[in-house]
This record gives sequence, C-alpha cells and structure tokens, in this order.
Amino acid sequence: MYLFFGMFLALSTLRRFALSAPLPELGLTPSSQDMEVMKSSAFQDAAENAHSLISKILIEIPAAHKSLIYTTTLSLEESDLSSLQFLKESLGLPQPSPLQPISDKFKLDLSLGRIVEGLKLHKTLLKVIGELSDSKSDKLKELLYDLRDALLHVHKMQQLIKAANGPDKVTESQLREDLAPKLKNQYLSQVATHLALIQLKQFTQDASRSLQNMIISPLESESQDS
Amino acid sequence: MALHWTTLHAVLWIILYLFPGNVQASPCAEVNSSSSLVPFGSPVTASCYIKDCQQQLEKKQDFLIKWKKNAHFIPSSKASKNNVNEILISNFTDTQVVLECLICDQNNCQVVGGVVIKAAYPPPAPQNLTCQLNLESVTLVCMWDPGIKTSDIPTNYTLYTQIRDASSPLKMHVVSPNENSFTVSRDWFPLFYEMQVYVEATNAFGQTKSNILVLDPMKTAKLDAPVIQGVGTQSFGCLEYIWALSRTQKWIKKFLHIELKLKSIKDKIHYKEQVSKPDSKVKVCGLLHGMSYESKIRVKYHNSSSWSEWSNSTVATTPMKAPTGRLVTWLKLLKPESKNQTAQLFWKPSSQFRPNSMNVLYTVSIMGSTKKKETVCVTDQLSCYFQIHAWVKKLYLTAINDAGKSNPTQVSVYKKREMDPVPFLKILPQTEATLSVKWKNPDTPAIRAYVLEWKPLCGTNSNYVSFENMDRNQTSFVISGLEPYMPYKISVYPTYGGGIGRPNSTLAYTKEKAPSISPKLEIGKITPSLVELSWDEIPLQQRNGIITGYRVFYRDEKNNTRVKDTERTTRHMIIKDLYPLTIYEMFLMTSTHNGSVNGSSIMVKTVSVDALEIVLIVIPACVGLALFFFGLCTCFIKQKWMKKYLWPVIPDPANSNIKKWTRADSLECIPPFKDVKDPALVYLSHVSLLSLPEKELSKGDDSIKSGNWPYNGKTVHAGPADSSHDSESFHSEQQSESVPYATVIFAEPYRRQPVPPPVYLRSESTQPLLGEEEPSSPRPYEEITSQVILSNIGHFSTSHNDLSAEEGRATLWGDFPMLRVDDTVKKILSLELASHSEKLRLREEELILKVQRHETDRNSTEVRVAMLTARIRNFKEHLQKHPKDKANKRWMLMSIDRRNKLLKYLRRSRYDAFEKVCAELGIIYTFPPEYYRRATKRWLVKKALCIKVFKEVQKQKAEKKNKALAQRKARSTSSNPAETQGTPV
Repeated sequence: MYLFFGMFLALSTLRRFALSAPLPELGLTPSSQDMEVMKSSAFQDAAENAHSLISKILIEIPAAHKSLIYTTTLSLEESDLSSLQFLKESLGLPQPSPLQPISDKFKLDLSLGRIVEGLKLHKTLLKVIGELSDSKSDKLKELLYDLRDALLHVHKMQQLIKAANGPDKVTESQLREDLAPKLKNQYLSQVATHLALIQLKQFTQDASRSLQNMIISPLESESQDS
Repeated sequence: MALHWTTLHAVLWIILYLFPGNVQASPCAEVNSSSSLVPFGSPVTASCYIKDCQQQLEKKQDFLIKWKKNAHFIPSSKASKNNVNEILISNFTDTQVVLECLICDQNNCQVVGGVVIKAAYPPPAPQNLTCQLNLESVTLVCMWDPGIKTSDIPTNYTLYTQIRDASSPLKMHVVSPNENSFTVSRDWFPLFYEMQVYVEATNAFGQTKSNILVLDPMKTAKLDAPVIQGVGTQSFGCLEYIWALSRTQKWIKKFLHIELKLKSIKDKIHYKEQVSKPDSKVKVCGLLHGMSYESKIRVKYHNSSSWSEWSNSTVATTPMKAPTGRLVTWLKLLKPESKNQTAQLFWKPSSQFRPNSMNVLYTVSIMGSTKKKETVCVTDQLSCYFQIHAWVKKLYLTAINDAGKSNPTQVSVYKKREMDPVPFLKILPQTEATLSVKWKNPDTPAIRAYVLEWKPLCGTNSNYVSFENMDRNQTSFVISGLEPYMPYKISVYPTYGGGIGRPNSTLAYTKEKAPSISPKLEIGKITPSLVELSWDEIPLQQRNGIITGYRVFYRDEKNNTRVKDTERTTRHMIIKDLYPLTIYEMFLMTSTHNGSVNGSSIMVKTVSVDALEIVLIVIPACVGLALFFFGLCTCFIKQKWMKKYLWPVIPDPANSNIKKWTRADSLECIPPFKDVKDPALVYLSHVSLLSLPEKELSKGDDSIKSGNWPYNGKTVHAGPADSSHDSESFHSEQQSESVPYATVIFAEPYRRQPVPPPVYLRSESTQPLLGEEEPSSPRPYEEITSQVILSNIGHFSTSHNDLSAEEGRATLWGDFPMLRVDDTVKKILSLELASHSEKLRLREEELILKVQRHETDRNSTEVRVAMLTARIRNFKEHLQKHPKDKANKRWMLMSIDRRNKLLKYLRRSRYDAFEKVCAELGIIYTFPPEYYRRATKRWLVKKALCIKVFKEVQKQKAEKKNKALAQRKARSTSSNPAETQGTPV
C-alpha cells in the first residue's frame, strides 16, 4: 500500500515538474538559469551573509529608535501611520521601490537591484538625517555600518549573476539640500527620523523575505535535485 | 678611490658646519662624527680638528694624530691638512663605540678629544598578528608581538586595515606608544566580509611591516553559549534537538558548527559534531535505548574559530526497547541433599546484554510439574534466593522492562555436587583495590570451567556476591574494585561435566592495618600466683586484617614488665609465676600483619596465700618424702637380691664356654694363640666366634680328617673337561655342609717393620680353614687346559652326552664325503675336536663346492644359498638340542626367508641354475602362499552389491551409447547436405 502511495507521490511530483515548463506564469520559482547561479556556494554564502546582516539591522532598529527618538508620541510599535501621513508627504522622504517575490516578471537581478537601491537609499537617508539632527548615536552608526556591509554582500551577489547596478535614486548632497530646511524644527527632525526608521524596518523585512527565498537549504536542494 | 675620499671630505665638512651640536669642544681640538646614533652596519666617519694647541704643543712641532676605538688604536687615513684628521669606520657593528683622538710624538700620546657613537637596528617586524571580534561591543581587537628588542630606541606602531573591496580605502590607525594592541572600531571592518590587516613598526632607523593578515572578522569571534530550546525523540536510539543562538546573536543565519555533549547516567560521555543552522533540528542517533541523557551544546562560527561556552543542560530520555542479550549466571544450591533445596542464583549482564531502559526487573522461573513456567522470583537486584525441588533441572532468567522482556537465559541445575575442589588456591594483594587469585587445575579432563566468587564479609554491601565464570584453561584472575581493610571471602568452584565441586575458599584483604580496637580483657580466676584472662573476638568490621596473634603485657609495682604471647585462635590466657598480694597492670596487644593496637590496661591484684592451700601442699610432700626414704632403706638391706634382679647380666669371659669347645675341636687346624702372638703383633680387628651343635662339628671333623675334599678329589682324578664338571663339583660342595667357624681380619701394624708371614690366613670363604694351603694342589679351572692335551678319546666316551650324540653324528657326517675316511683317521681328525665354528665353516665349504660357478666364486646367488643352507642346518641341529632357544629360532626363520628370496630371484632369472641348486643342496622350493582374505558374510554381500551396481551402470552406459549412436546416425543422415555448405567453427 505504501508502495502505491509512494508511486503516486512520485508521479505527481514528476507531473508538476513536467508541467512547470509550459506554464511559467504559474511558477513562483526563479528561472532555471538563475537557479544555477543561486545554487552556487558563493552566491549562497553571500545571500546568507546578507540575510544575517539584514536580520541584524532588523534587530537593531528598535534600539536605534529608542536612542534617537525621545518624543514619546512617536512609538515604533504603533503601526498606524495615518496620522503622520501629512507630515510624511510634506517632508518628502524618498521611498524605496517595492520588492516582490522572485518570479519571471520580477527576476533575480531586478530583485537584487531593488535591494541594493533600497539599502543605499536608507543608508543615505539615515546619514543625512543623522547629520542634520546632530545626533551622535552609536546605534545609528551601527545601523549605517551594517547597511554598508549588507550592501557589500548584495553587490557580490549581483556580480555573481552579472547584473548591472542601476543609478542611485538619491544622492547625498541632493537629499541634504532637500531636507536641511525642513529639519530645522526639532520635532520635524524627530518625525523624519522616526519615519525613516519605520520605512527601513518595512524595507528590511521585505528584503529579508526576498533573501530567504534566495537561500536554498541543503535539504531543499537535495529534494529538488531528485 | 680619490673621488671617494674627496666626497667623504666634503660630507665631513658639511657635517662639521651643519651640526654644531655634534661638535665636542675641547681645549685645543674638536672631534666630530657624522652622527652620534647610526643604523647598525652603516659607515661612520669622524674627524679630529686640531685648532689651537700651540700652547700645549709648543715643543712638539712634529706630532701625529692617532685614533683609538674603545681604547684600541686603529689605523687612520692620512691627514688632509696638517691639523685635521678623519677616520672612516665602514661597517659599524658595535652597539657603542668611544672614538678618541690622540696627539702623539715619539714618546707619548695625549688624548685631545673624543666622541661616543651608538648603533641601533631598525625595529623588528611585529609577529603573530591576531585579531578577534568582540560581538558585544562590535569591535575588532588586534594584537601582535613586538619581536625581540635590540635597543631602547622608541618604536611606534601603526595598524593598517582595509576592507577587501575595490572602493575601500586603506585606513591607518596610530597605536598609542608602548602598546601592542589596537581596537578597531566598527567603521573600519565589515562583517562576514574579508579584510586585511597589518602592523608597521617605526623607529629612528626605519620601519618594518608585519605579514598581512587577511580575515573575516566573524571567523575570529567567539560566539555566546547557545540555547537548547527543546529535545524530542521520534525514533529508537535517537534524540532531536532544537537549538538557537543567544538572544543578541540571533541575527546570524548561517550554518554553524555545533557540538553536542551527551552524558548518560552511567557517566559515559558522547560528543557529536554537526553543521547546523540556528533554530533548526539536530538529530543525534546511535544512543542507548531507554537511557536518559544530559545534553549540552556549544557552537563555533567556523572551523578555525574557537568554541563558545557550553549551553545549559537538558535531560531527555530515548525510547525504551525490550532488553536483549544474555545474562551470565551462577547458581548455588545451599542444601544439596534435601528434597527442597534452597537455591541462590546470581547473575550479571554479559557484554552483549543491553537493558534498553533504566529500570530492569529480573524474573526467575522454573518449569513446573504441569509444564508451565512458574515464577519463583521477581527482583531488581542481581541475585535471588528461592526453593526448588530436587527434580528441577532447569531455571529460566528473564530481564523485563516497560517495553518488553528479553529471551530467557537458561540455567541448568547440577545434579552432582560435592565433587573435588581445586587443590590449591593462592591470593595475593596487588594494589589497594585488586587481588590476584591463582589456583591449580584439579588434574582431571572432566573439568569444564571455574566459578570465582567473592564477597565482602562486612560493610554496607556484604550481601552483594560478585562472581566470574572462567573457562578451563584459566588458572588466575585479578579481582578489581575492592576496598582496603575489608575482609573478602574468595571461593573457587570447579565445574565438571556432570556437576560442581566443593569450593576452595580463603579470606583475604587487599590491604591490612592495625585493628581499630583491641578487645577488653576479662579476669577469670585469680590465685596468689596466677591470673586467668580471657577476651572476646574483635568484630569483623574492626579487625582491618587477619589477626596474627595476641600479646599480654603485665607489669608489677616495681615496673618489671613481662610479655606473654598466644596464637590467634585462643582467646584466653593463664599468667603464672605471679607474686601474691601484688597489683599488676595488664593490657592486651592485638596484631595483624600490618600493625598492632594496644587495648586499655586493667589492674589486677593477686590474692594472698591461703592456709588450706599450704596444708594441701605440705601433706602430700611429707608423704612423698617418707615413701622415698623407705624405699632407700629396703634397697640397702637386700643388696644381693637387688643385684640379681635389678642389675643387668654381664657375661663373664672367664666362664665362657668358648674355651671349652675350641679345645675340644681340632687343635691342629688352629694353631695356638700363643704362637701367633710371639712372632709379631697381630691386631685383630674382628673376631667372630660361633658355637655349633656337636653333631655338625663331628661331621666336619670327619671330612677334614679324611683330607680328601670332594672338590679336590674330583679335580685330581676325573679332571673336568667341560663345564658340566664344574657344576658337578659345585654340587658336591653344596652337599658337604660347610662350616664357617672363623673370620679373622687383621691389619698391618706398621709398614716399615718387617712383617713375618702371618700365621692366620684371612679367609672369608665358608670352607673349613686349613693350616696351610698347598701350593701344588691344582685348581679346577687351571687343569682344563692341561687336561685337553693329555686327554684321550676315552674322555669323550665318558662324557655324559657323547653316547647319545654318536648316532646323530654318524648320519650328519654322512653328508660330507670328504670326511668319509677310515675310522682311525676319522677319530684323530674328528671334527669333534674342532671348535663349533670350524665345523660350521667346513660344512659351509662343502655345500659351496657343490654349487659354486667357479673356484673363487664367493658371492653368486647359488653360493649365498649354499651358505644360508649350511647355517640353517646348523640352526636346526642346535634347535633340536635346545628347542626353547627362541632367539636362534628367529635367526633361523630369518635365514630361511632370506634363502627363499634368493631362490625366488634365481628361479625367475636362471631356472636351470635354480634347479641345479635345489637338486644339489636338497632344497625343496615351495611357492609362498597367495594373498588370501577371509570371506565374511558381510563382505560377500557387499561385493555382490558392488557387482550388481557395476553391472547396472554398465548397462545404462551401453544404452546411452547406443542412443547417442543412433542419434548421431540420424543427424548425419539429415545434416549431410548442410555440412557441405560451410565449415563449422
């Protein structure tokens, strides 16, 4: 009986594999060419490292928030940002491009490009905000260094899949010019920092998810090989 | 060279004017050097400028400038000007040099100036650069060894770091002086990414770089102790763990090296190393079933990193299974004779036994009368007492746990007991915890195995019996795990084929010491002169060894100490020879092999002498004395009577009867004693005198008087010709009853003195001694040779077997024609005079003549047959005389066989010769019997069967052959046309 059951399972998986080729729009898995690169140990290593660092950033955000924001009304736990919507628009903080699960429409190189872009954006944003608000928090610096390191690894991944890097969304000087007059108000600078951190948190969560998808655990790869 | 010198001068002058600090001013001269501190091995120049020494050197117009280096003159170059002299030290190898400038004339030199120059190396390259990441503060601490310092010149270190990324700059960190480490902040190192680090050491003479260290800071980090979040189990012998990194390091999402330490209850520790991701499952297999393990985990980032601390421990138990494997058992029957016996069964797990759980129960069951197993014992111990019937032959021992039970171990009950024990058992302590046991084989092949049993006789586990089963070849064993000062009973039981022997047991200690206590003395009877003491045995727990003996010390009031010993078995003592009414202090000392202990002392006072006692002693003494005196008196009165009955009878030589019978006997045979004494002193060392009954003496007398000894008479008259006479004479000798009557042995008094011929002859023979031996009388064996010559033919006729042999001889000699001569010649040349071997040779020659091929033929087959025939006939003749001579019979049969062999060969090779030999020598050749086997019924049946089978097989073979033939024929007819087409391969 188990034999029959096993055979059924085997046959069904085979059919799935056989069917995945002609119906690419259904598959959430990356294309076979990307798969090959993804399986390489260097890519996996870089992805794991990047994932680790992004996890580190996620863990550090609350601490950074605590050290930077002393305005009691701005709490990280409060996910409702609707009341700050007006200020957000008026501040005009640059937004990262959204991340999507890897598919044929949203390929690996694009995903990595978006991650790089987002990381760079937040790095610049936090740097500028930190400079403008004269805060010398170690936690913020730590975040910036981690962002730098994460970028190193994502760059490495990009190199492995031979993807080109897009232009930076914002430059540091431009952003400084934009934000300098707005952040003279202490409250506004706090709000900007708060918003930037929340934005970073959301982005890193997405990035973490994307990277986790790129990491193939040995067990998973074995099952796929078979 | 000239150019070199000019440049040097130029340099010198420049230095002279540029560095006025280096100028050592002196009253009249200036000494300058290029530098007071120079790198090691570099050239150094110095100059001496005599400025204004006219005052001092007025008189010395001609002076020389010389240089001294560390108080030794060194050659200097020529003076460029009259008052300037420079020197070049091309290779400066000293750490410090004192250069002195001297002005010399013919007589003496004067130091006018000097300079001190020091040399130093560039700093040594920093060694062993290592960096370690501190994850808590996220800093990288780099350390290095400065290397061996060569000088005390200050050295500065600079640390360079660079992230190995094209865009990253090289960062220089200045290290504070006198420090060999630097903490790099987070700005300058990445995580999970490689960077390079090196240190540069700088001092006045140069700079050196250490090796470049390439590292991933994460690999140098020591992670915090991980956490085991959960343990579970789903399969037998396996445990599954979920683990995580500490809270602050949870962001590390990489595969890490982990090591699990599993400690079972039995203190066995397993280490399992794996690679796993945090927050994932780790499965550890190959563990014992039903065993609880205390697990700990530690982690490291990379192979080269250092391990973290061990985590908290978690206890988990693997799933249970039924016990497996055999148990080793040892059955002891305590009352062998009765119907219901008390049995004691001990067991222990064998090496294959696996309890597969932590709690195991054991059940002992017997096959009951209704063929059903009856459980007699359920226990968690390793032994059990129970009653079994005499008819029970087998017991079954089963281990049970919650998961099931093991296969029963069969224990057979021995029927025979009380068999021989092992003859010898020796126990030697080896260490404090081990005893070596040796025993001897009881010399029977029936021995199967031995059981060595040991148990402590006291202590907490005195009921715990340990045992070991050993095979028959083993005669020694080392028991370990024992405690010192504890008595152990060690027994060896031999196991025979059908039963078990009696034990040979010994009490032994691994180590002994003095007993813990000495027993208390108890006083029994006290009299004026003696005290009776007794004491109890020391309890076994307090003995600490085998007691060798007790010793009582007692001391009177005057401090006279005396000692009395007893054996170890006795526990009472009577101390005698004490003074009455005296206080004695006594104590007991108890000893083992390794020490002794003194008991508490007691005071004993002996009692005073009792009046009744005195009376009791005095009265018997008086009575005794009285009796003694009475006895003495009676002795003196009846002296004669005493003499007669109490004194021993001593023979009186004067009244000896010897004198009487020597005089009555033949005096002429024994010369008077006086005669002997006169000529010389003869020392008689041994005289044996024998008295004989008178009858016999008179007989002997007669024979002596007749002067005709049967022995002599025979030899003179008859003259023995052969050995039969000898025997006859001996016979007659035996008949004449010999009278041994004197044995006189003397020794020579002194050799140098002329000794006259002794009158008494020494004789040890039993013959009657004659006065003098006649030298002319011939001896029987001497006469044999002379008699042969003198003897006539009549001798032969007198020979007792001559007549009987006469007829046989006539027929015998008939075979030899050469010997057919007339009777007289025949008689003279009678072969009987020849020796036997001569006769044999003659016969041989006779036969050889008949068959030999030519005259000198001695070794042809025919001749050899003839020789053998002669020998065989000789043997035959001899055997007729002596039918019981087996040896010669054997020789004869051997000769016959050999002759048969030769004849067989001859018959085969040359038949005519064979026939001739047979005819000539009168041999009838019969063929040897053919090989014959007695036909038994069994053999006949077997043979018939064999024949039948053989026939059947032949028949079948023939059938097959026929079939094959027919087939081949059929084939050949059908395939003939095909064969023509191609050749088969």
